[in-house]
Amino acid sequence: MKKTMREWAIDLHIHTLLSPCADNGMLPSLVIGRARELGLEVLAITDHNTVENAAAFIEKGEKLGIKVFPGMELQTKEDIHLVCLFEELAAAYAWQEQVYQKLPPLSNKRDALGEQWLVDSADRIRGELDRLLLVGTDFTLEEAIESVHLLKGLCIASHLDRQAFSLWGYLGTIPPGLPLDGVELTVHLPRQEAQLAKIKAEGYDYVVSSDAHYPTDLKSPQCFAYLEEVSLAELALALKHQKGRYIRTLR
Amino acid sequence: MKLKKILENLPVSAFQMDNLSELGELAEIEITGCYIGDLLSNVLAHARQGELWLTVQTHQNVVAIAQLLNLGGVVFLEGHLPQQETVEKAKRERIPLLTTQERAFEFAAHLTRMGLV
Repeated sequence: MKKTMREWAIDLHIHTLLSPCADNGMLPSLVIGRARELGLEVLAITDHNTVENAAAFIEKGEKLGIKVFPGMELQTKEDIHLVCLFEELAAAYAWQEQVYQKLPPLSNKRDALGEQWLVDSADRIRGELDRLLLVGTDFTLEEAIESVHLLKGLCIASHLDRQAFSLWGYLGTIPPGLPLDGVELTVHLPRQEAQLAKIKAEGYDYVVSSDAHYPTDLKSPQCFAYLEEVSLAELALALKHQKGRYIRTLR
Repeated sequence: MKLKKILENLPVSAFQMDNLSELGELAEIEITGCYIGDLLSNVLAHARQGELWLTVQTHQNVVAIAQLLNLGGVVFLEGHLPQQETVEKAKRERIPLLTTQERAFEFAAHLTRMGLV
């Protein structure tokens, strides 16, 4: 039977209280509950260089009818941020294992950088992660994308339109032939015609994600994916405007 | 000032060639100044033709920018080594890549002492 195509309200870049720079209020009940109130349907949990809180949010999402993909915001050797998404937790953990091997073996400086809380689906604190997360890994951009693809994951260039930690900001252009799956623009920044034209010429439908670090960063739906079903395979098509799939954004 | 003079006088080595003589005509490039930066979009906006670019950014887009702006060459600071694709691209595009253990301040100070302003 043919499935019905429709638009899904997505936000594929959300931090939790595990990211040192995120608010300690970014708990499963708050994020998932707020997403449901706002009408978001598909989320991704993307803490800096770790996936250890994803399971709690996925579980909470299952209870409240919100689809949550496990993900990570990787910081590459070039200090580029990449949103890495996975279909299954097992692949996300396998990726995390590789990332931890490429992180310097340092402890978090919690007073300077912030706390890194592990949580369960009922908002209970499981502990604090000691590993320094807010730092570049030793993965080059190309190596990272190749490794994520081997785990059937997707890579989206974070906040392309920001100066800090972005592909445009740090490398000037999207390197030719880089097998990136998608690009992300920031909710609040102005859309410039020249930038949008460049993205279009590269064949991408950009996503707009909240990159939420604080509860108030979660916004009513800004970005919609037209899919046959919610899966990374379908999202991959939409990110590149292929086979009738697309991404639509409010602006 | 010729690139050759910088290679002969400073603690720096040409990356894609084993020794100075292999730099060939690249050693004759005229260096007109120096620019320091790691954010390529910013370098693209502010570095000028003929300048020697000091950076710790090792991605292959460094070569693209050096070529686009017609820079005199790239010096990787503090022992950073360019990625393999970067080296290959630089060989193809004839962009001199140099490495040094020195920090930006020290290296730039050498250049000014040699008379580059």
